[in-house]
Amino acid sequence: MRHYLSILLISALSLQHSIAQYDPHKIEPFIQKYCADCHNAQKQKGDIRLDQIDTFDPKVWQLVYDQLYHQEMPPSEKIQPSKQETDQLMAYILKQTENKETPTSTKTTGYRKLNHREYNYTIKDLLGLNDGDFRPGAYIYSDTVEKGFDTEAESLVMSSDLLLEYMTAAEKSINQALFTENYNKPAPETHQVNLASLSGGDRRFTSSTKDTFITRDGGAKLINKGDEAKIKISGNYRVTIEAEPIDQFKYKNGTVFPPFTSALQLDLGTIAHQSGGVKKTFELENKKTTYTYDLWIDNGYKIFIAFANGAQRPANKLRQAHRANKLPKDTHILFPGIRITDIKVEGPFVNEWPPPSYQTTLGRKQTPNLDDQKTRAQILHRFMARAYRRPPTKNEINGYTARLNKEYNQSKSWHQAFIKTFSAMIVSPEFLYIKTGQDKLNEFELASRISYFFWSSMPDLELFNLAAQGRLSDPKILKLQIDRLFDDPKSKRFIDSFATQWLSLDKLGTMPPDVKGPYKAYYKISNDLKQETIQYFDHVLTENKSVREFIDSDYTFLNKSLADFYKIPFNSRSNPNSLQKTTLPADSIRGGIITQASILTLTANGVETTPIERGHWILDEFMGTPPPPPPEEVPALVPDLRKVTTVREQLLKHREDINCRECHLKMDPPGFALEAFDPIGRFRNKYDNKLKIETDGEFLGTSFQDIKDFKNILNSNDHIIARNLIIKIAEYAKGRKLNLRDLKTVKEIETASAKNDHQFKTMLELILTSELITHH
Amino acid sequence: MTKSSSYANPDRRTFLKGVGVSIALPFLASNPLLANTRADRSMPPKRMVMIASGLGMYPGNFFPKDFGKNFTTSPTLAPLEPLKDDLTVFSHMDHPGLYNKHAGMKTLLTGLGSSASIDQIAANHVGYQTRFPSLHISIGGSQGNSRTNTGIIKREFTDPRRLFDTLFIKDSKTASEELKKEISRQGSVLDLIRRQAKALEKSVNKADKNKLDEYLTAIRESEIKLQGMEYWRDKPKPTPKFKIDRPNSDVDYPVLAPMMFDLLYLAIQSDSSRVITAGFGLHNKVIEIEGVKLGYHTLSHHGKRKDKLNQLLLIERFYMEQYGKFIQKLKDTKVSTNTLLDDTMVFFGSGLSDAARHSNRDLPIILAGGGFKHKGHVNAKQNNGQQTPLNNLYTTMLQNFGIETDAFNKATGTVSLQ
Repeated sequence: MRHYLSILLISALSLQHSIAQYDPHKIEPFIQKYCADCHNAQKQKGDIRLDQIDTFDPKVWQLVYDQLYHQEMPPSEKIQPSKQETDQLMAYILKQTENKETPTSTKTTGYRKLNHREYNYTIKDLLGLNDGDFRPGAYIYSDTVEKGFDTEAESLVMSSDLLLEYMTAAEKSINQALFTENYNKPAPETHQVNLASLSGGDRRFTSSTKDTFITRDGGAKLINKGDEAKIKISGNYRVTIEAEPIDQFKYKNGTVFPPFTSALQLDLGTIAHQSGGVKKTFELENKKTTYTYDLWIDNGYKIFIAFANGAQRPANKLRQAHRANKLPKDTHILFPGIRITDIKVEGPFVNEWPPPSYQTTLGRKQTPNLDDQKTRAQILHRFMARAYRRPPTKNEINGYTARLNKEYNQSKSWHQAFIKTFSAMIVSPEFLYIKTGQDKLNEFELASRISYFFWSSMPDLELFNLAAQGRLSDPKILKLQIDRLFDDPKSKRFIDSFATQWLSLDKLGTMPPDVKGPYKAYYKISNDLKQETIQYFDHVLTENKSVREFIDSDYTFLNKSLADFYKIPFNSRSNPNSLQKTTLPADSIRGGIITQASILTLTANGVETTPIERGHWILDEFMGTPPPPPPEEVPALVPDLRKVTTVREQLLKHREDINCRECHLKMDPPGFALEAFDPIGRFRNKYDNKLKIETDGEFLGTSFQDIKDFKNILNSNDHIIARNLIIKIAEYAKGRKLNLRDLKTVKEIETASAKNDHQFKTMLELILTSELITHH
Repeated sequence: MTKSSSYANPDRRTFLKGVGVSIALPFLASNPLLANTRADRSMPPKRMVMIASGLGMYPGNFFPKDFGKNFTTSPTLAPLEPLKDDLTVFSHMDHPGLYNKHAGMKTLLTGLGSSASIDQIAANHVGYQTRFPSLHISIGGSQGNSRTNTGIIKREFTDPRRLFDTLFIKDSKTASEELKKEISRQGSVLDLIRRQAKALEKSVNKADKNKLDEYLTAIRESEIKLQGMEYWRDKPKPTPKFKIDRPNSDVDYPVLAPMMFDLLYLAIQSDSSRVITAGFGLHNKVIEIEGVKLGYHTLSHHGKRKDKLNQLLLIERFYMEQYGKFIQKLKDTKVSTNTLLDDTMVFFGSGLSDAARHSNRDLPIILAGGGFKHKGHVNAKQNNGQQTPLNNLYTTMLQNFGIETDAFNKATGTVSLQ
């Protein structure tokens, strides 16, 4: 059971200043003394001009505020304001947002299109689809978010290609939910798979007789073609397969394929046009044996089997060699195989009827009588409210009632009419876009806001009911609901997608190392390294640890492969494949997130490390202080591996250029500290060419020798990480960049959070009960 | 969240106006063939093929040392020697304003963050005069160079068999009937949701209105698409003039690439489409060319090491061979008074020059065919010392295609190929 600490409400912290009109004279002395040298009419560094301050431009002042907060301006070689002077100016800037007359931002859209994840989850929840293979999202384009979170309204765009795909996805989904017009409970049947007509394998490596099928073709999915083999009723099925290995240890002379030492494996899976996958892998006995497996199969899907660990790549190699005439003429190619002598599918075994998707979509425990006009009206109204995430208007209801009747006149089937009508409803803007007003959210908007934040899906019945009663915006009830949503397992969606995007974990796998190169060890942990970071994030949040543990700690999450990779002792009595919290040795260089293999891999390119890339990640993702892009005229660094210089020496040279100096002074040092790790995150103290790695540098005004020192510097600046997380979480929730008015709330939350040692869950609750969430 | 905001375009609508060309005007007339070029029906149709390499071309081997019509072909360009009169190689061209590390890889055909790529401007212009307004092929890993006007990446064919079927195999009668019903149903859904969006439009602010406009534009364009699909639905598909077997799906890279180019050639020759993009993708596989032993991506980070550069050269020359053979085939195909090449602009380029430094200055750019007066190897450095924006060349290409435009995506002029 998760439990929140009791916390102070943000409203109590609000500054009680009287509202002041903007008075340029109050800030003029500061500007003249510290800023105007570089930001005046003649010279405008960074395209910012500050000598014209008669009117309050919120965008400029937001920049100024951020620069002052991070003590980045004035630059260190210029004369510095006192802390008191800086604090006064920052307070003055924030105070301007209390004035209703002062613009705090340009208007941002209140229409945010569901992103790919949200679309998939929302359709499934709306239609009560079992967590089977069918994925509504498989029919639509992925999001093309270039920057920021996948919830950002501006990035979530529509096009005709996409709209047509939404229409297809809509029909497929509703048909998946209301898959049969026969409302009678079906009885289980036994379907015998026709072995002779299994297809999908390479004919040179498969063969069949009337009663048997032999496959030697590794990985090839074997299925029965045609619609006959498709499952018609979504439900639980039992698959029984009779199989035995053949030629596992028997080879003809001249055979090049190496013999099998481990058991042959047989995959059982389900498949349809866009999706599906392996559901069970059987390790085969060395004699004819019967294997059974119970599984859910969606309507329209077929089962397939495959020789999981059969000769695949070797077979390709052999084929190549054969093509190039590199094999002796009398070479026999004989691979081990699996002989199948029986496959049958029994089912559906139905517990509930009508099935759950009917109950959810139509809102009835019993089969509804669609001939009854009142029943139809109720079904339509209810579905519409859930699809729109708010009560529909009379006009909207009338429009779709007319649609329903028109569809009925065409098909003479209310079932078909509902399918068509619902399909249209879920490509309408009201479904595809989450709508918020420009100021305080109304009850239903608030329900969607927190539901999409935690679950990436539509509000559930409880949220709907509270919103309908007008009680959700009551701070006490809102807090209880936040706890409830967080406690629901569906909140893992937030943890997974936020952590992935905050830390750019989605970059993993886009530039993998060469499979045969010096960093091939990556492939031993490629399935685990992201999970380590996600579980670590989950732990810090769920256990309400301080966000400092993202910087450093004495534990991480490991399984056997990761522990071996890090050379950390791993003693576990349980499953060696699952990740578990592991205490690090006292002298370990790991701990925290920035020295995890995931981060170190995604900030390299699978071939070499660049301190700039890692330094940029620390500044941008981790601290929220991205350096500006490089100036136009500077040539990019050319790594030259022939010379005996290190990348560090090249960078130091690069810094001599005055155009590069300012940013690289900040960006390079974190990268230098992380040079102690190779492109896949293994510790090293020498480069491949034997040159010694130097990890010292200076960061935030303090010098460091190595990564441990560096983490200490970050630790004593934990407020930066905390503020970054507050801003990032708010942006993820709101689907837009924060403006100056939001920064005022951020400041209040940061102050309150500091009093709680920046405990992460407490911080999250401060955010979720603040105006960052309750307002546009 | 690693991308910098330097090129982010906060207001796409403003930008679209700046493109200076009409993008898919709503066409509710019954004949979807109607397009801007109608008056020019007597002229031979113009075509555009945009070929890309995902990981640049090593400049040291790519750029010829001398300029002019009679330039000496570089090691990479050697396969193009017999075609020197039919093409122009440009030195010192780039997309200005893009410094982001990998931005170059995704923006070859736009020059901006999220906006319509050159091929989509052309495709919208042709509309459904051909069965496919545009075709997109990926050879060995997705590239995602082609983008719709809201920046959504177009889907690409990766499987030669699927491409073959799409081009040449007629739908079954049931499938065709099913499609007909589907098109009409989707058409009526569009009517319905347009009314809804229109109703919403009355009560929103400017920021919201932009979003709703995006949605309404998508509806209008979808209608054109449905009309186009319906127009072509029961028209017989062409039979390729050359014998080609229905290809296998699973083939090696050196087999796949020629096969894909053969199919593209057939697509052009049968006038199935006039706008094509094809990309040699980013991946870390070992390309099965004799002498190549390391993964492509690894090789692209060559560190100027000789053994890596040599292997990289084999790959890049392979691209040029494919490109050259494709050009040659078009050149060998006579149509009325011309050759197919005279009507077809065949572009090759990459959004990166030297992938090892992720640089998008000095992009490797070649343009062949299209009826241009080609100039061999051109130094595109401008008088002010800056490189010529690649979008200037794109503007010239769009004009050649028959589109009235002064500047594609912030181009500063055109490139003279007269």
